[in-house]
Amino acid sequence: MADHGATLAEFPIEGERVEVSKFSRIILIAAIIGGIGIVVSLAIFLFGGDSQVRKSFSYSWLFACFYFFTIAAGGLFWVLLHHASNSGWGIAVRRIMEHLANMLPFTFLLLMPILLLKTPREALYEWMHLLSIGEVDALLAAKAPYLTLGFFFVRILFYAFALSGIAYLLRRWSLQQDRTGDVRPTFLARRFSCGFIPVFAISVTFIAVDLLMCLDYTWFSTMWGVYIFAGSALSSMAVIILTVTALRSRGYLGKVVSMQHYHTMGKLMFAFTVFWAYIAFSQLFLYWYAKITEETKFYILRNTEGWHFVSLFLVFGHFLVPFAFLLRQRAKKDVRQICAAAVWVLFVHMIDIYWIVMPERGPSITKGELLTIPGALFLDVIAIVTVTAAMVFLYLRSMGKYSIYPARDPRLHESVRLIN
Amino acid sequence: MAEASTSDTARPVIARESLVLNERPMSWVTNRICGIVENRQPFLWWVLFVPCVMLMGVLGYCLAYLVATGVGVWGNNHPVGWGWAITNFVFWIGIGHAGTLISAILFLTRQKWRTSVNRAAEAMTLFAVICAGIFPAIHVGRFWMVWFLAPVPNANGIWQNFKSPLLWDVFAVSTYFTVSVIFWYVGLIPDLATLRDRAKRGIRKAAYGFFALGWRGGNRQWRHYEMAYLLLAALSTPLVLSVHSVVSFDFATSIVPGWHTTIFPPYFVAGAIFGGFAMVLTLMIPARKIYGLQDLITPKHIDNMAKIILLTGTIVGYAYIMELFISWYGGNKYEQAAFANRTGGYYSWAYVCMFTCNVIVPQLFWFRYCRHNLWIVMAVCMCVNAGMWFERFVIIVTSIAQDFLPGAWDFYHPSWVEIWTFVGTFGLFLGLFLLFIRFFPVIAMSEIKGVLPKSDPHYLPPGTFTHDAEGREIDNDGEQ
Repeated sequence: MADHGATLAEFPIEGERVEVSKFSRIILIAAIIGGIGIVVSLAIFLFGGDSQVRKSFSYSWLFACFYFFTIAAGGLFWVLLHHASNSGWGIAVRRIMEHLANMLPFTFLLLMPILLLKTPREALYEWMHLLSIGEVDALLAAKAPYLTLGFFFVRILFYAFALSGIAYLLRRWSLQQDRTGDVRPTFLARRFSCGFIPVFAISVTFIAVDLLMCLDYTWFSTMWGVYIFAGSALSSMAVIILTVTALRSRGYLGKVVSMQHYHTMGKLMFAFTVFWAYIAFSQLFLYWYAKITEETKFYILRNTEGWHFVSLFLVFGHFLVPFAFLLRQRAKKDVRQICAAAVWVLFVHMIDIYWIVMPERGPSITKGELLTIPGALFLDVIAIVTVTAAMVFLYLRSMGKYSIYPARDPRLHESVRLIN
Repeated sequence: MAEASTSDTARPVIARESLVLNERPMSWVTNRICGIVENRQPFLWWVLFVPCVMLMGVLGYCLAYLVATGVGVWGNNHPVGWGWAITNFVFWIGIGHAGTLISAILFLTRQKWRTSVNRAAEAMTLFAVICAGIFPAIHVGRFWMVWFLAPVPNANGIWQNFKSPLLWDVFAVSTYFTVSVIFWYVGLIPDLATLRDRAKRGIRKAAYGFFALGWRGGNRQWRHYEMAYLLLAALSTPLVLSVHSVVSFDFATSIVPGWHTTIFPPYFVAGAIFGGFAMVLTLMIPARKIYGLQDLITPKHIDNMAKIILLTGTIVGYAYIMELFISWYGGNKYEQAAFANRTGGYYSWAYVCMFTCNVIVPQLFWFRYCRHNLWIVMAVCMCVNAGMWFERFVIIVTSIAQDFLPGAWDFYHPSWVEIWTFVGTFGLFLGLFLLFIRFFPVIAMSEIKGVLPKSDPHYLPPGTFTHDAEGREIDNDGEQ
């Protein structure tokens, strides 16, 4: 345990620099897969014409990109929370959160093909299609000030610059402290993080509205932003746990991160498992109970045929199983068990995003004739594999540039001596 | 800057602020807190207590008058079947949230600053829930039939509607109250034993001795106690969330425009914590002054609570804005009309009060000066107390006064009975709190001793020297 043994003298002032070459094999494989995947994906996007494949692939791409957006946004949430609450426990892992948050610009970059190209965009968002062909119904007309193409792009630009900018600034201040050992960046980050939190909350809420809720422009829920946020914080904590473990297995962070940190991170993952369930249940329950047609349509679609089993899987897989598993202290203090839980959480979160996006695809593209598009699963696999490979490549490469923990943070001593 | 930072630029260290000021020893903590119970109460205590008793009398009279006459003495009318009674119920239940939040959730998240305020906040929780419980019990009209709320087998074979959120509310609130009482009492045991050991006379010693359950403070007792406390904290945490979520279901499961929205559960919980913390500060800021507890409830504590008020107030603001946005975006005419009525109709003054008090005024807490000026803190907390009452009034009354059928619209005015019943509950609440101060240790002595520097196994008394991480000799103040 680091709590009694560790003293600051054991940690070099320049911190620990990760040699990316130790991950060279993974990086190489990710680069190859990601490269091929991006070429294939771009080929579909650019030369797919008006085909069903191109339209279906737009959904696959949105699913894959939004999945990684939630993880990166969660990373930013943890950095913000850490600064704003003046926490000490997580200094040892904060740089990893910062790296994760700095994946945000890339997720926006990857989203570009489906937002900029007309056919994919209109395949996803029916309201854009209706606007472009001039068939505006009363409901869409009522929403016109919000659902217009110009304002949509202004908003997307705002989210991209606001979130990426916050992530960039917070890591920049932290790195500045690495170089100078000055305490001021700590105060600066704390002060600004408090102000950034509302910007973060608004951005995450409305990007969830714009990219996911508007897949069906007639449906709405006030809880939607909170729902997406809950899954986002949960899955990013899982990535942080897995990253720490990967680094430790290659000889880094050995003295800085102890089982106490794993325990804390496990508790946070547990807490957000419950929080996600609370939000998901409340939303479902209130719509189910009131039984108003325009509200229940979201769930009716997802309880039709095969989607019903996916919905049921989420109840067990996203809540009951991780809840029961993580309830035990042992599961949070044993590296293998907590990593297994983290992998599971990432998997079920992927299913959650899939469950949000995909039921809209069949009815939208086939004008209500088919619930699912035959063979589209193959496209989904291409999209998720490509984006995962690209993200892993970028994420691991970002690890090597700076010390893997903020070595001159004024609260490092608190973090290495953490006792739960 | 509040924190002390060392001049070592190679590796700076920011020290945490002390939770107990002036390096008070453990004996001072015991004497100061036990002294409140053991000594005569200051004159001010009586100045406050006597009006509270009188207000309790008013409450008793109003309740008796209501039961003797019928609910017709209230201002309820046809569309507005829920007026002040349910507004007040939700208001008090909300206040009753901060205690268990401070005790349970802050305990689980290892927030040591909770120790100075958790006891009083828990007590406040219980008294607020008692005040809340009065309203659903009496609003049924035939008070003697209130036992029908409980699923007891009876001769007529009449059962409750288990599909009704109102019934879940009965279960949720009574479970919350029961667990809160147990949690509060378990936390009290070591301190009651301290009072027992210091008591000289018969009745006092016997009473504290009885309730201390034979506490001796042995190692084994502490081990069991701490495990029990942790388990109770873990049990209470979901209850904090569940109670107000279920209260929100009372509204949100219906199809009444303005009530039926998915964000209600977390929004109600955030609002309850918001209102609860404001009430904790409203009570504790005067109490720390009257009983000289400034070294225990420090500016740091008040600063932290002010920040929580800012955070939860802003979350509440987020919910208000989401409600407005989705009511417009959803395109449902009835929802749009409900919010148009709320913001621009006859009750718009209440909406303005609510929004100003709950969202705009707490933004003052962005400034450190405002969090450290007790007059401003008190003023903001008073606004929050009022604002949270208005929130419930706005939700309940404006939504049903003008619902689907314009021909059935009507206005609601509270009668004098409703007004004085509500005022009376303040007498009950404050009176019980004053009695609590009189008979129980207002701050958890055993817990606050646990966060003193001396409790740290690595603590070194002043004047002794040790070595720092780099091997340099330092004294225990961190000076080289």
